[in-house]
Amino acid sequence: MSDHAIRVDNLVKKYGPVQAVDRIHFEVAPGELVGFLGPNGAGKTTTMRILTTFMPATSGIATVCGYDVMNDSMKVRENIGYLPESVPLYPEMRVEEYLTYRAKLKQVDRAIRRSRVETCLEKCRVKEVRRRLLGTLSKGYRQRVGLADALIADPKVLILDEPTSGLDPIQIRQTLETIKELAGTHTVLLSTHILPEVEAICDRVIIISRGTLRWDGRLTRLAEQVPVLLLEARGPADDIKQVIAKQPGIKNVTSRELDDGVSLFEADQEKGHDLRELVGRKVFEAGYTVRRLDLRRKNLEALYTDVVLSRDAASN
Amino acid sequence: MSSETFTGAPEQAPSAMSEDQASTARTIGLTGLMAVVLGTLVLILNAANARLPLELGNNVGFAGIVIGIALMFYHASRDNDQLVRRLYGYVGGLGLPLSGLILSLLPVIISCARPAPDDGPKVIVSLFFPFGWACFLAGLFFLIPFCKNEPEEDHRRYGVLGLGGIGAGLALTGLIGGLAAGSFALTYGVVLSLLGLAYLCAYINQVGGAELDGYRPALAMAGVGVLVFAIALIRSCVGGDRPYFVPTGLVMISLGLSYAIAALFMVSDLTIIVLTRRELLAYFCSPIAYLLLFLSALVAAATYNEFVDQLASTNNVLLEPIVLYFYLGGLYAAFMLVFQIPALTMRMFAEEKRTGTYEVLMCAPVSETPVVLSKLIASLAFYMLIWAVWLIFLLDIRVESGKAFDYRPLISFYLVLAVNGAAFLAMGIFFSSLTRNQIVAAALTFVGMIGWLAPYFIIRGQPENTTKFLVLKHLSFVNLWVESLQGQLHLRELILQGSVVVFWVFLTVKVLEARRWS
Repeated sequence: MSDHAIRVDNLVKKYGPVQAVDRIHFEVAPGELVGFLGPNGAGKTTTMRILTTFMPATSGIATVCGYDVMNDSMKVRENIGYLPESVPLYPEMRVEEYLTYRAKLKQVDRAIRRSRVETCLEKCRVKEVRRRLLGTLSKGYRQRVGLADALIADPKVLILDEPTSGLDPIQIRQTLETIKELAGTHTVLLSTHILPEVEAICDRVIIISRGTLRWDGRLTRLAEQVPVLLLEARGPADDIKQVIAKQPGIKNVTSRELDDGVSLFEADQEKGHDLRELVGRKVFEAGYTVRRLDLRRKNLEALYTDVVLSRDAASN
Repeated sequence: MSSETFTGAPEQAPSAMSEDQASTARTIGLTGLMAVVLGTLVLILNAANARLPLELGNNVGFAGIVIGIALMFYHASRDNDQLVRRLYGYVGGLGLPLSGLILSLLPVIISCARPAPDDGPKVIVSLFFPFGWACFLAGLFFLIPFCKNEPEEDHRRYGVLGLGGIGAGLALTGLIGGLAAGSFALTYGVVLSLLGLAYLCAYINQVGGAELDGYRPALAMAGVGVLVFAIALIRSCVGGDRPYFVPTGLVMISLGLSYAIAALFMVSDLTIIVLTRRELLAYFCSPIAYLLLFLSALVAAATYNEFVDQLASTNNVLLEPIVLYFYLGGLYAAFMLVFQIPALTMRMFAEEKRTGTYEVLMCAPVSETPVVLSKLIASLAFYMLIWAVWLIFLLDIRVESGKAFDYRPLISFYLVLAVNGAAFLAMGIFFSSLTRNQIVAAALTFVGMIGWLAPYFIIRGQPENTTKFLVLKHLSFVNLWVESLQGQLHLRELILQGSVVVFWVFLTVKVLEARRWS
């Protein structure tokens, strides 16, 4: 029994010759909200399906709330709420009827069942369609009914496979707020393709690509990294490069010609210094005109691109 | 900016495409209306002894009305214009039961008011049979789609209140009257109570199932059922100068029990019952189920026709067991089954796997065995409903001929049908669990059904003492049916069929569990 809400250790899943998931390892502490990222076909859904016990792993161990997904499948299922990617629903049932049915299957006590259904209808903003047939709902409503179903038994762990796909921008924000409210009391593993969403609500991010884990870390850590200095100036690139490189605290200057005599220079700085003003003044004093002077912090999008294209896959 | 500033208008349009005009449904509905009008006309003209160039019996009139109303049911549930559906709801759903009430009560009042004839007691008549109960039954079928599809809460409330009110009225009249007078129980009481039960079940379903507002009505229904059961049981035990248990007591006990069981079925939180309820709901929401019911009625009608011809050719003298000639006069019933079983079971797992609802289902803490059993129970319930249609024709034989026949073989026959049907359905469910394609599942089940039917034809006309005959006789379900319709049944045959059920259920559970091994 571990105190991790989710623990995945050396997980491997093969579909015949295709290795969908290759020795993945990560842990999620209770109450954590984790963004699970990766390109299509990276193995996100496969990993999630293994965690929900729907699929067996080829090898490796996965536990949810300390229960093994293979041996304690029932206990695992009692503790998770799962929103699959395509949100399959029975078209002939009504929203309220469906949620009540799911609550019964998930053994929500009769005394609190009705209030749970009401809470979830409210939380997921599907109250106004409670009497509609599921088959006639729009994509956005289906998605939110699926989320309400995942929440109905108030599970400790929520596994959400693209909970915001098909929603409009306002609904996305509302849904993300709902999910963010759950963090702390619930452990949430959330997969999505929309990076600003993750930046908005998740601190921790796991990126997998082609079945392997590429990055697992905190976005605050990313923000702590020293930003890169950017400078655009007109003049001979080599001369300006030397001027910049001479300044104390500057390492690794690279230059790139942009257009008619203007070049872009990128320089790494030492930690704790902002050398923009100094460098700007020196370049100006050397007789060149400065067009742009800026810092570039590494954001999730840059990280994601790097990691997925396996450039600079610095694991944390 | 916080999201509170954006409280966008709720979405209205569904993403799914739907037809703008329900032209097919309307054509069907109007055809139905015409059939009803013509049927009624025939009945009226016949009643008035009108001389027509063409002789049309009352049967034609009744057939016209029945077929017409069936077509109108279809239209009532399919039309996408709210006003048309509302019209059906009010006229069909509330008007028909009202006319049923008038037809049942008015003749009673009139005949009570008339002075008694000199040579005997007053004759009190009621048109409950054959018109009243048919009106109530038809009204139910109009009310259910009305309540289901009506989006406006005000109108819907009338429909739901109608269901509950009519149901309570019918049930109380039937049960109290049945308890008060034995002769009433055996005729009007049974039909009234069963109609009431159907109405009340629909009512509880429409107010949100036993979960939401239906819980108290369901408990009340169970209470009434238990009360009736207890009173009938006590009266049967106490005894009097005339035996009460058979005939009246047993009927009242079964009615009370069926109320209690139906209510418990709707209230229960047992996983398997929750799953079964959903499966049944899925059946009643799919057109294929109604198609199967219609097909069954059609086959029963063809068989009935043949039976009547046979009866006419033998000068209305037929040896018992009559029911054998009715059910198996031709082999239509057996052939019907070959098509029906695949249609009933192909959906089961194939559909859930294709749409992905299976994944959602199995991510809830539910194990495979209840899932398989719930599908089996639901399909078996529907299968028995298909066979219940045949009983209506038997009722007609009884009414038309005015002679009693031996109905006891029916008990053994329906027992065999249930066990035997479970074996076929379990096979179909197994094939459905193998694939995500319904057509493949249906084709495999069809082949399986041919396999079950084959032994009957192989051994037909063969000498009876060969080993082949003895073995195949046990495998041939037609032979089993014949035996049971003759009022004979070996327990070993039921055990054989039962073990086949267990075999297929076991295989299905293993196939489903295999998903978690590989």
